[in-house]
Amino acid sequence: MEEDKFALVEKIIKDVHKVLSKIAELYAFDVVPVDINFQNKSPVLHLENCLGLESWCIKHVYMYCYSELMDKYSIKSKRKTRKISTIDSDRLIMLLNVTLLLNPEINSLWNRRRELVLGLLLDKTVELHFTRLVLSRKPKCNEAFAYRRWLLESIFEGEGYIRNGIEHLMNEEFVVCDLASDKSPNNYHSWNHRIWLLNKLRIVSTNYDLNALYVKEYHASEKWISKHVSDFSCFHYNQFCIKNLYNICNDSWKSLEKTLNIDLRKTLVRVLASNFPKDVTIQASEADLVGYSDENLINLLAYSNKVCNCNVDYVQMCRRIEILFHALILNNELIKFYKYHETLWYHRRFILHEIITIMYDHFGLKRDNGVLIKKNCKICNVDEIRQKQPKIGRYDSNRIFSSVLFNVIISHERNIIEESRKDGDHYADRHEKYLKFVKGFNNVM
Amino acid sequence: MVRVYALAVLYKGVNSATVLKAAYDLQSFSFFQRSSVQEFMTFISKTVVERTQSASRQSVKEGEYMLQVYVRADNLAGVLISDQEYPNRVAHTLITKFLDEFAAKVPPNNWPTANESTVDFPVLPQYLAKYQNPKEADALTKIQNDLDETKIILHDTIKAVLERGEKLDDLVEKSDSLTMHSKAFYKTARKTNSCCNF
Repeated sequence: MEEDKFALVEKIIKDVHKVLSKIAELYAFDVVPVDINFQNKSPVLHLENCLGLESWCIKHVYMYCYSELMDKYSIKSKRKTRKISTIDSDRLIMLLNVTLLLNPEINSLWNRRRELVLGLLLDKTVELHFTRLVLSRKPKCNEAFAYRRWLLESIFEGEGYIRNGIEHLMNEEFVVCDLASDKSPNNYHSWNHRIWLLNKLRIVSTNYDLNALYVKEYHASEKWISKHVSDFSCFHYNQFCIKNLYNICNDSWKSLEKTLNIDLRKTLVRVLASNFPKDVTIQASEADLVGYSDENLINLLAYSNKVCNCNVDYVQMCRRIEILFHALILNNELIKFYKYHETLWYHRRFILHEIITIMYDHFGLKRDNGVLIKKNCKICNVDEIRQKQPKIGRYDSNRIFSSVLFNVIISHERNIIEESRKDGDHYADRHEKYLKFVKGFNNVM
Repeated sequence: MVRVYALAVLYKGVNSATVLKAAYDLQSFSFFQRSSVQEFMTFISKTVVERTQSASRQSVKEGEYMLQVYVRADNLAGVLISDQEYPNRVAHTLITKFLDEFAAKVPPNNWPTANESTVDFPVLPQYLAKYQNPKEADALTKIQNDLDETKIILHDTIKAVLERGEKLDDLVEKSDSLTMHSKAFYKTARKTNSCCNF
């Protein structure tokens, strides 16, 4: 009886191996729930490029493969047979494939694969396909993502990859991330992998148009967040994308507006015009503001005496504010449409935090331990850095709090808090508290 | 995630409900599960419609899914299966909309005898695709807040919808419309849902 079972398991392993030989075409693996084997049929299913295994055989197959791996190929035997012969390695790969497909959360086994890759017994491209298959069943498997990163890292390091091959490699990676994020909500690992990828590209590539990629990724993430309103992992990625947009070049900025199909300056101006403080006599209408130059607009919003001798990059500052306000407007819409989602409010905190930091920066200040202090410019006064930083006087903070930008933000926030409160959204109260006590606007709100 | 999995038009007969037309979007399920999931969604739609009174609306939460049902006074019923984040208001507006269209296209005296193959009502898949993004679809159709006064009854689990003494497990076991395969799938799903998932 036992012997019979082993023979069957051996056959299953071989069948799986046969299907896996066409791994490039396979795109999904799954365990199919079948209680009993009442038909004398192979439990290995191969349909429309999907590989399936019937559930009744899992226990036997897994136990068999796992114990053989641990008995014959574990670290203990390393001393005896340092070198893995080709026959051995074929067997080892077969067992590893089956075991990892069924349970990918064993790092030791992934490490065996790493050794095989280093020994040139496994092909890196095939390995990328294999992890993809694993992720199709367990989209939150960190081990598989980590292995993928290791593979990519070694592909980048080696001279093996052709310069124009990188594009294909990247697209493939983005597809895998998309699939994994789509399959499983709040997939921290897939979004984290994506961030790693972009950061890696920055270091590795010399001739890859990163700015265009940033624009593309921002657009994609924006679409994603408006459909996954309680998945903070993708919001976090969106935040990463926003920060990437801060320093893109002129052409990319134009293409960003084109991709989003929106005039970012107009969006900003509209918010400004509808939230201008009433007591201040600002004559500028929406139409006037569109005509303002970057420098004039910033001076209107937050006029500050020069803190140091460095040049203020008005264009860049304007753009940062524009993109953040765009994100803020999108956030408004989402909060109004999908009510009561904590994630949306947390994202709002990020956006406001960024705007306020930019504003403080412009005034040459930073917030430290809840107190506003002067920030010394590292470029123009190197010698003053060592001096103790003085606390900022009342006058200065009043100037910030009376600036137009600040008042616009506060009035805008008040509106959304008020509106959401009417809907019975208790996150609105929390948001108000956050602004008052965390951001320190207790006196001015 | 905001996603619609299924839209269905049913007729609530005296003893049981029949599906008149349905559309599914099961891309997010793995290939081997799709047929079972579809069977199960049909089964559950029927079960809930049979247990919903005429001229009432219900929203039933079960796990990460949400089933919205509206049975009109003339026993025509609409079902929308989505995930939990899908806004209820949009879901019910959509149901009202496609039921009205259905009633205009297919004469009421055909309803009791018709089935999926005899009914010609091809717009469901279009709605299914369009309403995957409720925000855009809602803005396009401009049907804000025009839901009738019928109150939506909200249930936190499917148990609340079932009659006293009824259990979903038993209903599944007894059902003829589910294949062996789908029953096995249901059992496994029950098991995996019970342990915590991060």
